[in-house]
Amino acid sequence: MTKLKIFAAILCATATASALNLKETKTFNEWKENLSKNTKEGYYAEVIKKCGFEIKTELDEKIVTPFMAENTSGWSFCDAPLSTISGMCDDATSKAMIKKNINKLVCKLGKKEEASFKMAGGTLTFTFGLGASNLNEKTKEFLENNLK
Amino acid sequence: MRNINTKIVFLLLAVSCTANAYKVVHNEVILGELKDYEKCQADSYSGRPCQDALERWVKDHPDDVFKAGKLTRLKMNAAVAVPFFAQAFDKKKGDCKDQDVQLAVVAGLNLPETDKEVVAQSKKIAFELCYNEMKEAILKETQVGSYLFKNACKELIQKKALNGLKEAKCKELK
Repeated sequence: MTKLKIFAAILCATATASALNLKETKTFNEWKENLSKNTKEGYYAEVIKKCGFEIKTELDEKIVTPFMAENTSGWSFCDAPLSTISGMCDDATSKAMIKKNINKLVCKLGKKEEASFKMAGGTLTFTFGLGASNLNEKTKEFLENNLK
Repeated sequence: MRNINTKIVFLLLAVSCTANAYKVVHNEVILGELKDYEKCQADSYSGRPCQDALERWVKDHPDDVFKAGKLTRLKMNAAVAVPFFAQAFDKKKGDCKDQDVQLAVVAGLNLPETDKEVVAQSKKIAFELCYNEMKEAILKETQVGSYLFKNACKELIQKKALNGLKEAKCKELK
């Protein structure tokens, strides 16, 4: 009986860990690549070039299904803070504070219009929904108010 | 036929005179009453002749200065209303909670340094007279690099409302 329970728990955990179908999984991998490699599309490399250090990105798997259903590239939403950060690094003061405060970007699925930020322990967490807008302005506003 | 045409012209003029109670004398708009300003604005492309007329109106009717500010905020660039509101505060007739005052002051703070007088008036209202009421609206528009940031960041630091990157960037300003 105990073995059965453990088996059921493992099955359940596996189902929660990856609920994407093959097409979604392929897309998710492409999106992660755009956010973590020197591709033409993303700002990952631009951050390294302008800020002088790498920001690793973690993309929430839950973003894939709803964004794909609307033909929207979820990774580009997650890329917006990298775009803003690379732009801010043109300024030496901003660059120094970014380097001191951020080494990782985590992108999470939020409510429809949501575009909110948290920053703790070197991680900038960006939570957004499909209807989120003005992402660069919102990133800049958050960073200007919270970088110390 | 000619008679009918003449009648139509007179009819149109009559309608026009009823709709516009303001007068235009020697290319200068003269308001018959304060609400003529709105009618004038509806007919004007730039709004400037109506604004000049409103300024003349306020000189003759100083008690209307706050209303003139509100009308201006509605019809012109919001910062144009600041001198009226500044006058109203001088006469103890200002209202820090008024939305038009807040919009005008934020717009006034966001002007380039060349508009020294309006910027100074906006700063006086924002930081000396109405800070508690306007703090939130001002901070919301305080982006590094904006005119508002340049004009107001030192006062905001004094009020302990800025820190971190914004404080550092402000201290870099001459």
